[in-house]
Amino acid sequence: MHRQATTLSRSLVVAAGLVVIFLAGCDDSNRYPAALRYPERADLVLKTENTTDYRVALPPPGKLDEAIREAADKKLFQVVVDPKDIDRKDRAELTKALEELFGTPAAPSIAPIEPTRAPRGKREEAEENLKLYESLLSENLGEDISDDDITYLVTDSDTLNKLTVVDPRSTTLAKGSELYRRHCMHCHGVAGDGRGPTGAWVDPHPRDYRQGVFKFLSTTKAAIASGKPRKEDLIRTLEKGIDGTSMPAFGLLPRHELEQLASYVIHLSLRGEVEYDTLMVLARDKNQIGDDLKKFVYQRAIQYTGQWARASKMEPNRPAAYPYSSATPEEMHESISRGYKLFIGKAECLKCHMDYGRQSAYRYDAWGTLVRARNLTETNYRGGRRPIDIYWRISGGIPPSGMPAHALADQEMWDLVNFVQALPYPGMLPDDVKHKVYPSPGEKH
Amino acid sequence: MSVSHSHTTETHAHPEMSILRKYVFSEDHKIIGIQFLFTGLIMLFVGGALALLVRLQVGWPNGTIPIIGRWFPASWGEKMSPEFYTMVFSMHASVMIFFVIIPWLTGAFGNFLIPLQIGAPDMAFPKLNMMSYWFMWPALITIIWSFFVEGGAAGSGWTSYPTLASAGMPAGSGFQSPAGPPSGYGQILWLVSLLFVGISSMMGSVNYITTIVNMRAPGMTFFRMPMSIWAMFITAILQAMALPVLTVALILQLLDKTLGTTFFLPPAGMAFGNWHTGPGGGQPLLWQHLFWFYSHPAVYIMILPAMGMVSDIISVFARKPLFGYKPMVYAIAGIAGLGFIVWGHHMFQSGMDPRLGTGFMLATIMIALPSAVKTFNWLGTIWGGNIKYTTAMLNALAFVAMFVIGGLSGIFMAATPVDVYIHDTYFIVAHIHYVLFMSSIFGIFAGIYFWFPKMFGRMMNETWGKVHFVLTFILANCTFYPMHIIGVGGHPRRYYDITIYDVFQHLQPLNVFMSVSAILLGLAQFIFVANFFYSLIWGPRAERNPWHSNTLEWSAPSPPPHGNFEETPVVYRGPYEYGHPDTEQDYAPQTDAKGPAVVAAH
Amino acid sequence: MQKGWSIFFGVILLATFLIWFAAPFFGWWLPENISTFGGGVDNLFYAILGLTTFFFVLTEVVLVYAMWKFVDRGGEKSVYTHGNHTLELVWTAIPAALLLGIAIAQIGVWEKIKYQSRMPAPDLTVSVLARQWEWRMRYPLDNQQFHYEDEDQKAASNLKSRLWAENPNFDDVHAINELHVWKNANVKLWIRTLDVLHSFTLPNLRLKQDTLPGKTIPMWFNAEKSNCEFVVRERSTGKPVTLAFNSKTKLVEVVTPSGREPLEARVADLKGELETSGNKADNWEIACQELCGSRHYAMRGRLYVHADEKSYYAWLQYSRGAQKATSLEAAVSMR
Repeated sequence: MHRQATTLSRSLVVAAGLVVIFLAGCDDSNRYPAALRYPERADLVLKTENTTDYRVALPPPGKLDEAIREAADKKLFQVVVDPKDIDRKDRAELTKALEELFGTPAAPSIAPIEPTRAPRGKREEAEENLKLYESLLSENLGEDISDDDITYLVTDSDTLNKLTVVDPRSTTLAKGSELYRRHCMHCHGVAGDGRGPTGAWVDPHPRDYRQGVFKFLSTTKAAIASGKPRKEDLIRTLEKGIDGTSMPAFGLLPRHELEQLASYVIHLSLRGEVEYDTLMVLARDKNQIGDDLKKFVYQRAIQYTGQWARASKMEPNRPAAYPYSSATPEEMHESISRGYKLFIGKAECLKCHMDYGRQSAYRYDAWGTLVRARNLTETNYRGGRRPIDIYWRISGGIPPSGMPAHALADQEMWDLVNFVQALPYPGMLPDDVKHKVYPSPGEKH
Repeated sequence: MSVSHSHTTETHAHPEMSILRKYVFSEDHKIIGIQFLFTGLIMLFVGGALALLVRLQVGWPNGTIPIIGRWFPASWGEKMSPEFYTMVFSMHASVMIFFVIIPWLTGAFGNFLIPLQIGAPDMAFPKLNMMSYWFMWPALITIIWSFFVEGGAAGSGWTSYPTLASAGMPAGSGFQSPAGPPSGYGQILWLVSLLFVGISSMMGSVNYITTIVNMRAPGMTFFRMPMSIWAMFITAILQAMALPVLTVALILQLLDKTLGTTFFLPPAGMAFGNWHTGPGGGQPLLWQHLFWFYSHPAVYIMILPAMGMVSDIISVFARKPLFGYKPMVYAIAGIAGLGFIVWGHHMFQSGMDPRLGTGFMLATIMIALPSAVKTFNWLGTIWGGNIKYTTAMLNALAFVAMFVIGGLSGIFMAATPVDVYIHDTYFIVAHIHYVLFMSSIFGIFAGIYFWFPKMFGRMMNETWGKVHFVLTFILANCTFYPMHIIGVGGHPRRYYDITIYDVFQHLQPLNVFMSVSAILLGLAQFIFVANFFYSLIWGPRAERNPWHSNTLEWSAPSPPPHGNFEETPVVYRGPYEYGHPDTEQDYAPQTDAKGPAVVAAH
Repeated sequence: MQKGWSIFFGVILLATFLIWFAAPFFGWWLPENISTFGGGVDNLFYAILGLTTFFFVLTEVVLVYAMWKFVDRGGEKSVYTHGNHTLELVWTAIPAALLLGIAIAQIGVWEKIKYQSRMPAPDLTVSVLARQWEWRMRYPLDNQQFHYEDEDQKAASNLKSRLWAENPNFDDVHAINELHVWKNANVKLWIRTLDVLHSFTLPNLRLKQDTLPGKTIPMWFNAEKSNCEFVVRERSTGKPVTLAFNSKTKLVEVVTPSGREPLEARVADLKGELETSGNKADNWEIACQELCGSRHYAMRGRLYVHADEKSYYAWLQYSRGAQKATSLEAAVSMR
């Protein structure tokens, strides 16, 4: 009895102590753990310009990287680099440079940390990094980019803290990282790789930002050579979600939170693209780097920051005035008929949107996953349902997924938009078009 | 209560048996019962650990969790993912219901008590009985295995509603589900596991019914059976009648998931982004009807045996006959009978015709009646008694006190308009835990403290038993009671993070309080385990009848040998003759021929 | 010493009793009710709370008292009784009567909320499509088409509106996670799902309905309180514009010195905003309450109850204009 009592009392006290310690460690700050680092890229680094259509089935749920590897083994992609093959030393150097530039998930940035904020033992190193960065900045950034343009990328209307590029650990990014961890991470992953715990289990797979390319842009590739979106485009996607995919709408979040999130996504994309690019070069053309990997990484970071700033400064693609604002139903029908002819003829839409998209084939997109031309007889539009959204899709294309940009005359453009908008609603189509698109059973189309 | 050492030397009826036959593949009902007891105990800790993971997430939805955070991969941000959370709460409920409460109540106590309390040497079908235990093992293995398959264990709730649970890719494209990672292999294993549990329970039920009907000792009429036996008897009937329906439902879902049938898939099929299930020809509501046709009676399977045991224990320690024996029997039968026609109350908001809801509501409200009758009779039993506060009695009284809360809170959900608001909030979580944790588990603790001497021939430590009881009683109330309050506040159940809602976020402090209490509650159970194993080895030896109880098991040696009784007992009276004015001692064992004349049970 | 157990039980049970009185002071209580039938639900809740509290106090007081009074008295025998027939009858009959009373009392409220035959003619019809993991709402431009005065037209009108809910119309206005209605309007919702079960729950309306794959299920409500107003301003000057509302045609027009123009056509020059009180308690949210996968917890929607029909139609027609945006100016008009 006595022995039992002491043993029990002792273990009880120890257990109680452990609980106190444990509970004291629980906090609810939304922040990433400070010790957490961005994971090194482990999945295949790809370049695809594959426009072949495949009559294949989608891979089953949960098989994102497996499916990519399988396609890579079949030589379906142009360039495939396995990060495992990169020299360990180079890899370590790259990781270090990336961390100097982009910080950690808990303390994100887009440029080296200001020396005064660096931990005591690391100040000198930080000073050197900053010096290198600034010298490269003045060399590499075009005159059309000012500090303010870059600052715009990492600020939001709420905090509005005027930051310089040399003090990039803005509260916007830190808040963005908290919001991202809460709302986005489990699909898009810590590194923005689209490989969070949920990532492989939804199709279309969550966007992998690390290639620096995005699908729904209000500018054209012709206007922005890099094909980067405007920050405002990212915010719109957050706000409205992407119909037909698992990307939900975050329109109920306040505006400044959306801006913080967009800034953090830009940060992730920058970091990812620098990593992507450096890995590509390391594997294929190491001479291009010379012996200063760090400098190369810094240069690329500045180059892409400039691209983002340039894109965000850009005014969206302005369509010609809509000619049918006060059109009669007959005029509308005529426009739709003309649009239909464009669709099946000159614009070559049917080539990919086979049977108006009902029987489109799969092809590989820039990320090595399978996509297909939209089924336009359904009523959802991923890039938005407004005429102007559809106009932007047609005129700018969706480069990463193989939808080409179309150069059509102003009126043709709107005829085509009108047709695409009316397409899912048989009642909206002129009779002859209706019979073509929706043939009654037995009728051959 | 004095405890003296028993010096009876017991001769085993089958001395030639090997260790393997005697303790592992045993056909002895007592060993099988104890096997169920230990299995349940292990699974209690698995289920408890899962519960604590749930509480950690709900209490600190966006925080970093010390130590445990590191278990989650860096690519998850060292945070529990929402899928993982759905898996954790689904498996918590599945493990607790199918691997702890049911095996403990029917498997452990049913096996151990039925032959002993009716004066039989063993079960009617000892081999079947052994198989009933060993069919638990495939179930256990599949359910544990499911944690390690791709996609993780089942995560569609313990109810596994289609189409979340049943959705699969068109036949031939693998077993992964587009509805989410846990709906793939994990769900299939869950279904297989439950099929095995079902087979095990069915074997048990058939055996219990046969044994109780056919093997009662001379003089043991139906109305001389202790309440434990009545409860086990009615439970076994319930189980035998309801289980086939669950089995059918499980098989249908298994076919949907593996062979591409579409029993639960609507004609248009379902779209998940680019994935499509292909067309179906079924109806998701069918599952809910089949599932609840079993699972509502199952709720009673999980409480009736505890009610029976508590009735016995209260009567023993109040030293007073059970108040209203026959009304108690009728009440159990009434609960069981009504239990078959109330399943629809789980489906008031399901899209079932609301007029059907009205009918189910009427039946559901009336099922409160037999429960009330039972409560009043327990109160009647202790009124005027001579209460001895042993640990077993305290746990039994806690059962009564807490069952009142669990029973009364059920009336809210039974009322259809209130259910519109309360359905699938934490109010229902509070209700189920007041019935299954605060009632069934206290009943089980009472049973273990009470029958431990008979099971193992040693006494459990009373002091630590009481410490365990006090801590559990306080902490369990701290953990589960506030759930009523946040339920009234509208807090939805199965939420990974309520703080994104303006209407719910003010409830979060209570979540933190409950989580802290839950962690402490979990730790307090180690006191029980320590006491249990310590007493198993070093506890003082128990005499035959340490509690001065009347029922037959106490006339056998502690622990009873294979074959139970030295000679077939003959029963002379009902089981509750305590404090009879004509006798010298305050109890009159059922086998005692010299005691007071047979008293007709009320 | 042994009587301490009675006190122990008493203290814990008292605490569980008192928490019901303390909780409302911390705001841990039913959220504000804003629907016409919610009052009935709340009254029933309080009635059951009263009744259960009575029985809770009764049984637990008896239990605690008995635990105090009838503690082991050493040597003395307990009262020898097997029960009491009258008592059994009394404590069966009284609860039976009370339970039956509750059961019958609630039927009316249930019928009012859920029975299709009792649903009033809709002033506004909305189609709600649930999917993993959001609510997609669709509003008809013309609500008159589903309204009826005559009960005879009910079935035909119901069918018409269900077919509309299942088949999108070109003119429909789409909104994600936002349910717009106006004060005192009879709102009819048709809820559907694209994938798994969901449950469309509005705690403030005391309303809940699961969605079922393959089914289109009707719900209705009428909100008695508003939480927002749609205000339209000049984009360039920021001055509020005057709107005219034709309650017959439901057309909202912008009044300018030069005449009137449909609001829908003027979207490019105007900036429309929903003005809310900013008070958190007025954020009436939609939650999913049937497990639907990993982001089940994140299916958050919001209910906007406009102050009047005019504000609602201004929002609707303005949104329609924004949805038809063909110019850059119109495209940035509305969040």
